[in-house]
Amino acid sequence: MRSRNLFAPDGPVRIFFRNPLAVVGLTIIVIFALMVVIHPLLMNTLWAGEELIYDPVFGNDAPIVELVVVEEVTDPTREIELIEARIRDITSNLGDVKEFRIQPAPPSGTHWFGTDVFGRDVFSMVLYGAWPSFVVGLSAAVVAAIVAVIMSVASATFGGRTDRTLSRVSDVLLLIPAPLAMIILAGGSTGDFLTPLNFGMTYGLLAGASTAAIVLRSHALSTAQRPFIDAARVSGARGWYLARKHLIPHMIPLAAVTMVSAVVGAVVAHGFASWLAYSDELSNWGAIMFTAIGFASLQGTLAWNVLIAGAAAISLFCAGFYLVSLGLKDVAFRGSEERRQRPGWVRRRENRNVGSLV
Amino acid sequence: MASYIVRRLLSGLLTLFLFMTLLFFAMNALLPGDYVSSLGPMTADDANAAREALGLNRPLFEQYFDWLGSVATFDLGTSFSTRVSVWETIRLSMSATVVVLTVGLGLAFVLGGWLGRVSGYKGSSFGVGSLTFVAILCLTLFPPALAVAMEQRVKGVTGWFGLGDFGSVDYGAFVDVTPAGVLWRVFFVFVATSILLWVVESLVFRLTRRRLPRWVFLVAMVAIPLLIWSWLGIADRVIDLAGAMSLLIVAVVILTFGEIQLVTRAAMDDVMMEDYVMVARAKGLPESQVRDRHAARTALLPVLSRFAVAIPYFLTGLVILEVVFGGTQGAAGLQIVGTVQRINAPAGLGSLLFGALGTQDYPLLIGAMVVVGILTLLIRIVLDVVHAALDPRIRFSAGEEPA
Repeated sequence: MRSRNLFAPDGPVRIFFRNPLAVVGLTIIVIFALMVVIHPLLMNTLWAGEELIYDPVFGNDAPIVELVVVEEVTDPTREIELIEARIRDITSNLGDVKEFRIQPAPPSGTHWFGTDVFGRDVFSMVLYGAWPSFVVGLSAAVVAAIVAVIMSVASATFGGRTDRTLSRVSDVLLLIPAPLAMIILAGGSTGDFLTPLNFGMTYGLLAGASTAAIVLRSHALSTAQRPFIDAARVSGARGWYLARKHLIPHMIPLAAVTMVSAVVGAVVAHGFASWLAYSDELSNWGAIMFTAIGFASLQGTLAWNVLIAGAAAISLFCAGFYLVSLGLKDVAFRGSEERRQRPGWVRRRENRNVGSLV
Repeated sequence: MASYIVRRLLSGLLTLFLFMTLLFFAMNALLPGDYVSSLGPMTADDANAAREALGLNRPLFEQYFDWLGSVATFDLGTSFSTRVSVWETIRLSMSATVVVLTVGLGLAFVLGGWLGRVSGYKGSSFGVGSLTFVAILCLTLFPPALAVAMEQRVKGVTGWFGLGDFGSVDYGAFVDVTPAGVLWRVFFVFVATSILLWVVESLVFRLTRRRLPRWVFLVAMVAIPLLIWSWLGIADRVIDLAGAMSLLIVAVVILTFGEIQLVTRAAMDDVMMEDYVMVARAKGLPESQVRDRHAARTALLPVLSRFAVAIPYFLTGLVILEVVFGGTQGAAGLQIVGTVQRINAPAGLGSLLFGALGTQDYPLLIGAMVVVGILTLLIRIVLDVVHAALDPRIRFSAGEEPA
């Protein structure tokens, strides 16, 4: 099953890259990873000395725009209401064309994604938000995979009471949906406990012990019934040795798939917690959207450039990981294309109802 | 079958008990402060008196057993902030969530299942690729952003209601025909209609060996509830409420159908090369019949088991949507209408949950979480029973529970 050479013609890497969707996903993730690197670079080179404009937390820049003072606004990008204009400049009269500083500002050459309600550069904020998202997502994924693999392998190796207890734990934890639990924890907790790292790890613990463990358990159980496990038992392998040497290698591809869904869940939950202003982070994608929504009622209009930038960043990030999971699934249920060519009974024997669970 | 259902219910009860124990201690241990500390600065004596009055100064275990005993009798305690029964508040709020969840997931299941069947059956082509693309796009949409965009654009343009506008629907003088009352009737009428249709369908099949065409079900699913509602005299209110909930339902469908479509498609891919599908085609059956009767039936099983694990996430998504649609008018309260005291509950469990979180009203918060858990558990049990009805291997493997 496992070939030693990762890059062999039918090895996992080749199978992964044969799926075009997975390649697209990987490209998206690489772009986001580049964003993590690019932001400090830009701050130190191109934007050096302009921190007051481009700083993602404290920056401020209000572009100057010429607006016509009118009685009733039909086009907010070109016109301004008389009262509003008088507040800013007492000398304004109807029909004047005056220069006003505006924030939030629409996209322009200096601010690719425009500025938000505090006049911060949204492009810089989006770049800056990539790092916390990676921390949340990856820590959740690693913890979830470790917990789920240990639980499922223990179920399959020891069986009996261990298995019953562990699957009961998963059943109970499934009733406390990890995203909801994390949002409530974030809302209730005080102080700076919920850093992105802690948030991700707690999420990983909850999701790993429930959903991921359930999915991996049935895979582990069906792997444990295969002949080579019996052979290992006959030759004296027991307990953790058996699990480590013979079961866990077979769990890795599927564990990778569940890791990816943990990334998606954790990033969305973290985004929503920040959206509700439950996060202590100074700036991340959820917080970007919070500023768009939170001040919509004060501004009278919703800053679409801010909302779309944050939402698109989170959605694309999740989509990238989701697409990668499709490729990983091909690796996990190796060569689904070749498998499709074989008659049904052969595949049933290979498959044992597992691939369908994920 | 009956023994399987009984076994499943008993195991569900044990799960529920463990879940509530975990929830109670986790809430008390993890969330800092209590209701009294949320009231603002007060002297130590006053705080102690307030804790005494609310029973917060007793040992945790005593509170736990007290709570467990009262939950067993459908009494979830009294809300700290409104002094109204928690169960009463939740019952009023929950109706909207239950109706939106069933209608939304039902529609998503039909839509996603159909798209998945079509795209899984046709193999690779441009159309299938774009269907998959749309599904992934919808699946990874950030729920609150979708809600805001819909509220700003669709509501602004079409004038449809949002869930937050529940209060603006006029219910006349009938105190018992509250939105919640109407919604519960809507829900039970739907359930009754489905059961009725299922019974009729199997009877017809037994007698004539023929399946009813699908349009009969579609017409019946709309016509029978409408008839019953007008007989109950609530048809016009149902239409009002349908307007109030349409945006939320559409949002739920958009967010969930993608996952169902993708899983169905993968399952169809696996099934399509099975020998019996080839046999069915060789017999010269119409393609749609091969697809829906032969292939899709088997492909449904993995979809169901995936669905069961995903239910909590769907529910969370709905709660999130409700918070955004419902706005900040979350806190529960009492309203005096004429001489009748009426509980003014927020529309939807989501607003209730976050309102309770904001005021640190733990009885209400824990109660809402318990109800979310029970809902999830019930849906899982129903799905498991359906699964067992479709797949005899599960019914007869003793002790082994479906994951």
